[in-house]
Amino acid sequence: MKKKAIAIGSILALALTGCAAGTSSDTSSSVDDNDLLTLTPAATGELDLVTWNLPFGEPASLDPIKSFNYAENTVVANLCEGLMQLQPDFTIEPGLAEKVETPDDLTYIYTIREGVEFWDGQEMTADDVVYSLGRHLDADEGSYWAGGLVGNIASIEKTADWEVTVSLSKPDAAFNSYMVTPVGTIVEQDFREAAGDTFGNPTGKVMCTGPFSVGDWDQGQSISLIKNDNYWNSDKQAQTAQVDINFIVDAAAIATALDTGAIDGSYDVPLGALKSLQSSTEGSLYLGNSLQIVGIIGTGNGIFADPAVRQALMMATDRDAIAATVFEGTASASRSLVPDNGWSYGDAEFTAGRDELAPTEIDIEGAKEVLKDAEVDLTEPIKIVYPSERTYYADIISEISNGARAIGLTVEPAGVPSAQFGAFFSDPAAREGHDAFVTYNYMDVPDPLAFLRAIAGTGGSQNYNDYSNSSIDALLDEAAATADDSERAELVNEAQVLVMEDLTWIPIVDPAVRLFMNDRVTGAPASFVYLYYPWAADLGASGE
Amino acid sequence: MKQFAERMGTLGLIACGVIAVVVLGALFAPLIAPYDPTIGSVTQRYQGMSFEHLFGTDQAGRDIFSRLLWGARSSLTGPLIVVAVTAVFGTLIALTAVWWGGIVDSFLSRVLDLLFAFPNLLLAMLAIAVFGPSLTTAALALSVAYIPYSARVVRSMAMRERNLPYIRSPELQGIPGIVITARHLLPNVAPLIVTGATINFGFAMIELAALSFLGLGVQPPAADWGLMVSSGQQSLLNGYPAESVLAGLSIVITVAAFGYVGERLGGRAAAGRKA
Repeated sequence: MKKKAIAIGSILALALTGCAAGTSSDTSSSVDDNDLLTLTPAATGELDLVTWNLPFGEPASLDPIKSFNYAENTVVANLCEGLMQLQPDFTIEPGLAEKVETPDDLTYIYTIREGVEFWDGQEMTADDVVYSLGRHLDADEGSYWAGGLVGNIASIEKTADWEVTVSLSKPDAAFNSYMVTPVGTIVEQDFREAAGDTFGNPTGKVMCTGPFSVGDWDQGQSISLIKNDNYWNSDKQAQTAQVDINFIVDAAAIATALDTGAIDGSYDVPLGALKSLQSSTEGSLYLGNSLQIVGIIGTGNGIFADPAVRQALMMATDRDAIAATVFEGTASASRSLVPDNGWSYGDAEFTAGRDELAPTEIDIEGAKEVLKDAEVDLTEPIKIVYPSERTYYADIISEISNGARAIGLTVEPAGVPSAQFGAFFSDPAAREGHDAFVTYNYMDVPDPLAFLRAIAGTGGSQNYNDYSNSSIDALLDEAAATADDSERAELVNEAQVLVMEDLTWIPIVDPAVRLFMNDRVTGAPASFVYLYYPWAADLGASGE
Repeated sequence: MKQFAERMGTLGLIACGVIAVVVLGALFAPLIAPYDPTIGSVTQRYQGMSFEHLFGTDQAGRDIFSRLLWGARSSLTGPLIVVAVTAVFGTLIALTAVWWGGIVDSFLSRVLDLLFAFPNLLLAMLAIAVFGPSLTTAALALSVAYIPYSARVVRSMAMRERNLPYIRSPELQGIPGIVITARHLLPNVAPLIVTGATINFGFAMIELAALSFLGLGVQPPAADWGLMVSSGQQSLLNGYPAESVLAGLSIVITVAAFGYVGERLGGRAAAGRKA
């Protein structure tokens, strides 16, 4: 008996010491934005099948007007096309429209491309375009994109056989860029009307013009994209006959599947899987230019409603450390609420404007000074909510708590299940009793004007604390009515300065795109373009 | 004491020692733990074993040893609530059913059957969905799920005792049932209640750890073993298994210790009855 006890004790001791023996070699730093990629090596041949993964899970719908997040858009981008198309270098080029003319700042005349067929062989017409754009204005269709930019549309008319004219109520220089998003995405009218309530779901699916059509949708498992042999753009024909997109969300399962070749590639590789994939011998991890930001959104409640508290908390938080450690060096500290390089015009102006903003270094003494302007009871805790399944948010909030503690504030993290957390973005009642919540967000289009308007403009679609600043609104309105890119960028910069003073959100880090592909495949763009660009069409054989 | 040691055997004594260490660690965590279990910096993450950090640090830079000690508190408190509530209400239901018998027994038995039909974790998740995730909610919901197990065992034992002369005799003398139950019946089924509670303690610990693992029990940044297994997953993937594995081992060892002690107590109780 004694021998048995000793043996068990020895095993436990070995297990305990062995398990704890891992030592940190965490010397990573923030990613240098100059090192981020736009493309990956181009494909050198065709493939019969590529297996991909969607780490955000199964799309709720493939209907473009119901596509408003990573899971849906990453798939729909390969199926349905917009009048314009976002390119990997964040420029915007004609898509299903051959060209756009703007005779005045309220009118956009789209010349529709002829000879484009839907997957069923029916030709796309101007009527399909008018119908598709009009769906956003039809309350019965329930577009997730209704309001905001879409709410500014005064009329959509077919003005010639191959011409559609969109009139706005007030000038909006960002309008045309949204034609790359589901706002400008075209579906077949006849098919949509015949499908009824099943449109977009696994039964009804969709009918579009993209380089892939929808194959089998095995609910809970995968969606197959089938190459469209009659695709109108011969230069952009898909190089893979079939792309199966799986819905694996568990970080460990994703890491294993990628490392063993069960899955060929994935965007948004989970942070938990980074370390193992960085050293993988089966493929490569690419870090791409991004339009994403991780931030803390105020709800308008508690002491977080005071701008001085938000400003002080940002200054006291070691955002560089978060970028270097929590994001394993795949992010950089956010200098602005506008992600770095998140623009397709006014590069010189936006770069200069960004350089004038406060640096990201931690500044405890400065934060304490700022906090003196606060007009709230600083003994009250700041309650920040996050989805409890995503532990990296807990680490971020833990670091924010350290900063808060250093300046005499208290942060109370509150984890809620992801299913519950989604309501924070849509239901004001869910935000009651909470001061702030985390977000992993992105710019729909590379235009700071549109993004600032959404997060800080009065009534903005992501202005969750009913923030209103007439100076910011005036600058953004003026920018929206300014045709000249440089002048517009200057005006947006002025608004950016004010937004960064009031901080409707606290910017934490700008995460890079994290793309993994095994050695068999290549070609998917590395930049944050996969929500609105048919990335799967570029996938092909690497030649290795 | 000597008799107790003989009954327990060497492994039983080791198990008792493990339980004692865990309980003492939990009780004196504020004195023993070198760091605040909820405070750390990501700049200190994944530190290895050292005199500064006995078991290293987790992905948030918190001291794992301190979190294990503090985690023992919630990891023991939850099951304690479960076995206490279960023992009280399970015994009450069982003795009521046995004493009155007939329709009362049938009714209570059917209620227990109904509760049996609900999987423990599902019942807990339902309660958490309604009242929000917390240790108290999870423990109370699990208590409701455990009551039938405890009540069934106590009922079967009490049923046998009910017809023995030492119960029948005072009943014939007109002594009230509540007095007979409290003075005679309860003391004779008590060893079984203690044994059941000890074994259930381990089961409850596992299920509460599972709920914390799923984010439905103890909430971050509080320290809890189940939560540590969960939050350590990312570290595990990154090649730093200490947090998950040490928390997991703590659960396994403690549950095994309670299970073994419970088993030995059960044997002792049975032996005692034979004597």
